[in-house]
Parts: sequence; structure tokens; C-alpha cells
Amino acid sequence: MASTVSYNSTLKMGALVSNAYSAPSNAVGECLSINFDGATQAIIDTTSLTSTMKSFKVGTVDPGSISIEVNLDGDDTAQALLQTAAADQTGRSYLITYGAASTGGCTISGIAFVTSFSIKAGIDTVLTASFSLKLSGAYTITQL
Amino acid sequence: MRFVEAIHLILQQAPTVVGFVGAGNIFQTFAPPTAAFPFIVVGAQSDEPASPTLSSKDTLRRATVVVDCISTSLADSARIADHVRYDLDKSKGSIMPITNTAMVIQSVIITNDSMTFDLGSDGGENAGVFVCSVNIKIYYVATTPVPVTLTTGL
Repeated sequence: MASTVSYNSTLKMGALVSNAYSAPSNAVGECLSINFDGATQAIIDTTSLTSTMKSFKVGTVDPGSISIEVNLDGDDTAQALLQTAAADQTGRSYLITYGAASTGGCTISGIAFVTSFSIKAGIDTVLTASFSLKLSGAYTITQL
Repeated sequence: MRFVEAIHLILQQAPTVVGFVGAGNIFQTFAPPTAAFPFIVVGAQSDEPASPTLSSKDTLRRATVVVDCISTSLADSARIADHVRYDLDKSKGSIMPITNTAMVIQSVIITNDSMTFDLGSDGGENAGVFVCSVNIKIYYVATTPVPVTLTTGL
């Protein structure tokens, strides 16, 4: 049964401390969507010529990426931080909260690099911005 | 519903419109029976967030209003509607409604218009009026909501 509404979901971004994750407190404003695409395990084919069925071993894990879309807001400091992070080649701490403590959901946290940033204008629409983040290393999922 | 008052104020500042109907002949919601032709009536249709966000702190809103340009003459009714488009389409700025603080209008967009003939009280064409309705979309900045936390009452 669906149990948790998406409203109140947030993405917070902050600096690394001693090159490691540090819980950020600066929530990105005006979020329209927050997509965490999750981990992908590499598959190594170990099938040999004498095999009757294909066999595999798992390789390394790619922690995946995050993409978010926001209404562009020049007054939002967290959006400005994301724009800076898209060009300064420095990692950031991230903390996604899906749902809220009062309604259930989960948090996902770790380290990421902002890999792309774009702005879109259209007829009869608001200005929107999109960011892509590449996760690095392990992430932590915690149920609320 | 501040946007109705906003459009009313904008129309009163629209030189071509005012030059044709007079600033005193622009009304909100309804016109008094004694209003002299031609006149304009501004009415609300809808009001919604322009682009709802996850944080529920949305302030940019999109409202639609209809501006009825009413005259005993088909030509005049259509002419007023054209003046409304001429003066208002893509207008923007900050205005001060009487009942509230300053309101930022980011864009006023004329979406479409239509013409009807409103039969008069005799049900015939003798006392009828021509109504050219101009539909307007307005993007404005509303105050930031401060949601309450719901709790069980005592």
C-alpha cells in the first residue's frame, strides 16, 4: 500500500569535512523532483567453453547518481551552492530525505560530485534548473 | 483573490482603455445597474501555484481572470477588448492594492477572447448588450505560506 506522500522531501548539500561526509543542513529550495537512481553491480561473465549454462560473478558496485529539478530561485543559497559545485571539481556531502519523520520515508546520505547544471526557459512556464550528481563511495539508507 | 483587485488596478492605469471607457467605468465582479455604457467588469476564474514544489513553500502563482468589455455596440465592445490586449499583454511590475501590501506581477498574458450577445430584460435584441470577454493569465508573487503542524485537539 502506498503510504507516504512525496511532499516535504528534501535534498541538503554541504561541504566535506576532512574529505569525509558531514551531515549538511542547507536544503535546496523549490525542488520539483529528486531522483536517486540507486546502485548498480557490475557483472563479470565467468562462462567457459565447457559450461552448459552461463555463470557470473559480481564485480564492483557503482553507487549511482542523483538528478534534481528545481524552480530557479536566485535567492536560494543552496541552489547557488549547487551551481558553484558544478564547476569547482570538489565533492560535497548530500542528504536526501524522502517523506518526513511524521509520515514515514527514508534518508540517503553520502558524498557526491555535481556533474551537470542546466537552465531551461519556455513559453508560459517558469524558469527551471536541473542538476546531476554522481555519487562516490558508499551511501547510507536510514528508515525514518 | 488579490489578483482581481490587481487587474482592476492595472486596467485603471491602462491609458488606452481608460481613454475609451473612463477610469470610473471599470468594476470588480459586478457592475451597478446604473453604470453607463460602455464599461468593463473584471471577474476571477482560477488561482493555482505556477509550478508546485515538494517543499510547499510556493509563492509564484498563476491566476486567470476574465475581463468583460460591455457595450451596446458590437464595434465598441470589440474595440475595448483590443485596447485591453494592447495595454496589458506582457505587462509587469509592482502595484499596491488597496487592501494589502505591494504585489509583484511578473507577467500578464492575454490568452484568448470571445464575443457574446447578452439578451436584455425583454428577452429580445432591443435591450441587449454586446460582451467581449478577454481571458487573462497573470503570474504574481504571493506571500510565503507558514504551514501549521497538525495535532490532535484537546
